[in-house]
Order: sequence, then C-alpha cells, then structure tokens
Amino acid sequence: MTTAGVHTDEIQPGRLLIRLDGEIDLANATTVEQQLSEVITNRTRSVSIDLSNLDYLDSAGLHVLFALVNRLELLQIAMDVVVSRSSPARRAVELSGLGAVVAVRSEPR
Amino acid sequence: MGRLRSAVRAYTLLTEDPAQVLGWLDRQVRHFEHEVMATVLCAVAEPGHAEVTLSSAGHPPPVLAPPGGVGDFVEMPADPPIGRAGLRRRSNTVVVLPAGATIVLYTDGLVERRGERLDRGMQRLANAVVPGPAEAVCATVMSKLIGSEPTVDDVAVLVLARTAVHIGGTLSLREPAVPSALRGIRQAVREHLRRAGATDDELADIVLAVGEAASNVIEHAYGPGGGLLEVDMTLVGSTVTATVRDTGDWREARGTNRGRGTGLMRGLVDAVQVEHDGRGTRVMLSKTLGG
Repeated sequence: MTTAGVHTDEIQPGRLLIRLDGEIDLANATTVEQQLSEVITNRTRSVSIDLSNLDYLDSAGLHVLFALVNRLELLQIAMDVVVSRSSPARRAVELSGLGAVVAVRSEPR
Repeated sequence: MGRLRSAVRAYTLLTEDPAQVLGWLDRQVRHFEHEVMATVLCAVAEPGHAEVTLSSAGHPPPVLAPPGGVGDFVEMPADPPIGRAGLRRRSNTVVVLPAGATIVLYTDGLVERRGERLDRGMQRLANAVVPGPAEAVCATVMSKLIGSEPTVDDVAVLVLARTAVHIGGTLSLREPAVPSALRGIRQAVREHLRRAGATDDELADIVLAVGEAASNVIEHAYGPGGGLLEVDMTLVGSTVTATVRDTGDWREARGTNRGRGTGLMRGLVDAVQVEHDGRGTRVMLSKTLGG
C-alpha cells in the first residue's frame, strides 16, 4: 500500500507548515486529502505545503494540490508550495503547471 | 480454528498491516475464546510482490530462498501466541522478494516429529527449499518432509514464488488493475531501469510516466468487474520502451482535473503513442537513455 506522512507545524499563530513525505498516488491521494483538510482549520491564515521529502508524486497527488488551491482561495487562506530543486516531486510539479495557480518556492520562507 | 480464520479475514478488510491484524485477533480471542491459544504467521504481499511484510504470533519463521540460492529462515522476532498476555504493539518484519525468489510458510506439523528436536525438522525443511515454481516447491517439500509417513498433526504448506521474468532486458508484469498495485509496479520498474543503467533523473521520469499510464488503466479501462493491467518494458540499444496495456473499453477521463496525467507523460518521455482497438488500449512510452 502506498503511504505518505503529513506533518504539521504551527510556526506562528495561524500559520501552518505542512511537510509531506513518502509517496502519493491513486491508492492514497484521498487519504492525504482528508488529512490535509483535518489539519487546516477555519482559524488558519496561511498554509505552506512542503513537498521536498516526497519520494513520488503523480497526477492523483497533484489533483489534491490543485483542489486545495481552489478551496483555500475561496476561504481566503494564503497558500504556497515548497519543493526543493533536488526533490523527486519537482518534475511533476513543474510539468503540471501548478506554479501558474500558486506560488512555488524551492525553500520555505 | 474456523472462527480464528473468519476473524483474520474480517480484520484484513480493515488493515493491510499484519501486526495490526494479529493485535486485533489477540484481543478478539482473549475476549471471546478463553480456552484458545494459537500460533499465527501473517504475511502480506502486495501486487507486484517485491516485498512481503510478516508478523509472527509464536509461529516458526518462513523459509526464503533467493533466486539461485538455497532456503534459509527469515530472521524475525516472534511475538507471543494469540490468546496469551496482550501486547501493546506487535512487530512487523519486511523481507525483499527478488524476482525468482520463493518463500514458504508452514504449520508446525510439517517440521515436528515425536522424539526429535525441532531444529532437525526445521533444518530438513530449509534444505528442501530450492527456488522454483510454487507447485514444484510444494511437491518437493512434501515428499522430503512427509513422504509416505502417516502424520500425527495436520500439515499446511503455502508457497509464494515471484516469477516476474527478466530475460535480456525485458520486464513483464501482469497485475490486477487496482490502485494498490501501483506501488509494486513502480518498484519493479525502478529495479529494471537501474539494471538497464538509467540515471536517477531518467529513472524518476520513466517511473512517473508508467505510473500515470497505469493509473489511467485503473481509473478508466474497466467496469466494476475489474481486469488486468499489463506492463512490459524492453530495452533496444539505449532506448527504453514501456508498454502499458489493458483489455477493457476505453472511457474518456472524467472530472475537471483529469487529463493532467497525459500532459505529464508527454513531458516526461520522448514519445507517447496510444492505440485503441477492439481488444483494449495500449500506451507506448519511449525514452532514450543518455539522450
């Protein structure tokens, strides 16, 4: 079974840094989506999703990120995505055009 | 025993973690079946079968024979039998099952003989396991350990042989088209590309492209009855070609975010070719290594 870890730090009040590790594909994308929506509460002001430690990310995982961008935009919660240059998830992020809808950085702010 | 089997089956619908299955089974037995004590070896092999996760409740370890090697016992801790003192956390052991390897699980009736030390029976078993087709391994084990002797105890033997073929740079996988097959397929493709000399970047690109094509089959090829997902890889010169095939009816992708996978595939490999015919859909992905 494909597994991913979702690790959340509240780095400042209302500001979340969520680090993902492991792998995300069709088998566990829905689980990851649920875990993300559980940690992001109504009092959250901004969310940084760090993909640098993911070993695998495919379009099912990207689908979760695109859906999250739409949802957080509606809720007026700021969002950015961090993916280091050497991360195995980097290619999928670049090719998908995620950068056109949300800020993608190579290091956390 | 029948009740234990039913309980194990029910718990395996809820988790794929063998230590968790045995933990729940132990609670179930201590609650409902005060007189019962049993040893259990629980193994989970994912589609792809690149690795097996094992947990033992007081049961002797399985025998693993690598391709071209001889049988040896898997080194793993045995937690207490089912029905004894509850354990907060049971342990799992993961063993890698390379293509051509065989793993043998058995009940103690196979190795126990009256008036003989258990190690001798176990040693006889390890010596009897040579990797090969599951039926052949079963037959050899039964004839060498049981022969024509009447047995005192029941005997059960379960053999899992991983047969993924790698002949001269080809890889051939046949898996059920379900999401849980994806991880094993990626592992097999990675292993294959590493042998073919792909760099880390090339490997990651091809694995992702194959993953996308395979996800398409899982999501779009079959109705509720399901079907097979076939992945074949060949290496001609320095060009890797992966063919991902189904035998279902093509259905256009659904949902607003779909179709993203196809875009990814085109960005990841040099050429993507899709063919539909009456027998199914075939996606061919090729990429030249070092190109």
